Amino acid sequence: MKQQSFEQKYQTNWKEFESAIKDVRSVNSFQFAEQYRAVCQHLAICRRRNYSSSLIDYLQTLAQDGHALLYRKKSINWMALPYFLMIQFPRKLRELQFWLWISTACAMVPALYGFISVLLFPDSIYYFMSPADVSNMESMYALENHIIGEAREAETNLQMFGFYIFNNVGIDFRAYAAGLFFMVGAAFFMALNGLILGAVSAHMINVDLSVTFFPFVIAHGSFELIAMVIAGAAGLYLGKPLFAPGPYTRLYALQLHAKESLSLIYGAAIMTFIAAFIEAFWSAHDLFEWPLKIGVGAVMWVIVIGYLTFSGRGKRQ
Amino acid sequence: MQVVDTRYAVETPEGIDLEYIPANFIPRGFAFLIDLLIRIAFIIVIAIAFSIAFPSGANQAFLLIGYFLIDWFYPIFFEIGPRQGTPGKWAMKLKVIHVDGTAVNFSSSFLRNTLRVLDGQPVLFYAVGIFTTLTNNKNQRLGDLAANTVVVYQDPKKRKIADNNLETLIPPASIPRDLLPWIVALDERSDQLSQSRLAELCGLLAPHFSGQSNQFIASQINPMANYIRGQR
Repeated sequence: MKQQSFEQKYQTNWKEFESAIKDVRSVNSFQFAEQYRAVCQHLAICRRRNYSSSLIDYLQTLAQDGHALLYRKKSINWMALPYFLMIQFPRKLRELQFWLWISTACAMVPALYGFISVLLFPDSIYYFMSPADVSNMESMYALENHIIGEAREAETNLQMFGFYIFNNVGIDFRAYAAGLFFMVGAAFFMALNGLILGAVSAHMINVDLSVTFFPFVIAHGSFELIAMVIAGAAGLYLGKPLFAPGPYTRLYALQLHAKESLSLIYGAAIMTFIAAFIEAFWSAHDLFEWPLKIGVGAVMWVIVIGYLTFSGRGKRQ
Repeated sequence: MQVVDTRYAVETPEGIDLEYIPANFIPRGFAFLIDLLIRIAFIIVIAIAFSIAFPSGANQAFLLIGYFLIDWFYPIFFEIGPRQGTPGKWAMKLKVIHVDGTAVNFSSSFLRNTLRVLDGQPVLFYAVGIFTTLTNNKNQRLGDLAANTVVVYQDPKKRKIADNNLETLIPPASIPRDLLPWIVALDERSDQLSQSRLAELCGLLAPHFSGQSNQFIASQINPMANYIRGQR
């Protein structure tokens, strides 16, 4: 059959398929699949018979669009969110807990070092932070600024909420990406943050501001710090194929590990989001005496650790 | 004949090959710059909008959240949309797909855009990313490799619709049969060629048109192509 007659014979089918692609919802999916297979067959015929390249390109475009539509997956499955939170994320975390402990060690060891060195040598805080930053922190937690019974303005709360989202989730994502840099990147992030956290905590004890500092940080600290080491663990797991791809090629191992580590980073992002919420709207309140805040903070830690340890265990649902 | 081409083909379950042309870092770089400008414009717009809507401190919060979303989620939002690419990519006629031809989903998009942090070193000059695309036959950067995606050119949609009353000319019998599809191909791209180039190419057919000038042969290309395509 000559090209022209071929085109004329199937012109309407192709036009129909084109409009079906544009407006997928209006088409019966069986019909769509049938039409797509027909277009594929026409494309193969055109190639075999060496018809002109403009026709082949046109059918190729149709086939590509049809292929993309037919085989696409649902993008964000909101229905899966509870399953993810309660089962998939904790299970994945326990499965990869080796990296979690490594990440925690990367954070804890420098944290201890920073803490002890600043406790013993109070001036060494200036190795880690500039004097301007130090006095900023001190004024944030200064006793005169925290009169019991005064709540912070709602507006400032909101402001800080925005800031914490912007800052902390960003840190998690960066730690994750940096993990691909031979795992060193993630370890570096953990170490840096741990070091500063340890140093600052010790400094707060040195200048007798522990009464304001620890109640402030303990509540959201659970979510935030654990999320940070989870993000670091995800980053380490992402970079691991560069060194130990197992039985796969490095590229394939990377793709596998990337898929798995996504669960961890999503969980870490959600936890940091929660931490930002708590940090902005609860931690800064001075409505309550510090024992209450410490108590609430301790409960938060128990909740987070319990969730991660126990959620998702037991029979499959 | 060995062909050096950046196209790669994916075999589909229906048994046909879909060809894609990956894009290298130059159009992608331009797309990135366009996106950068769009992002800055977005931020300015929401900064103004929020400072009007919430004249007090709360606007900072929304601005920061907006900035966060634009920073990390602007590309993801567009890549899982119908255009399969950010406005910058659309302007450069690119789209993002999985290597097997399917559209990207949230996870892949999240992965490739989060790893942008690594690809962008140093400081958004993308040296790492560019280097990675050069080592890869599909021009994938680190984020693409991890997410199994590739940035390809969009398909051209326009073509000439066959008309019914066209001039035809039976090609001279001395033209070898395997040259006939090339005459059709030449006709289809004749509007992209300059006159002198077209005449030069028609010079290859001169042996079959004894004594005629190249320009005359060029005018006969379309009628011959119509005949070969089946117009009677």
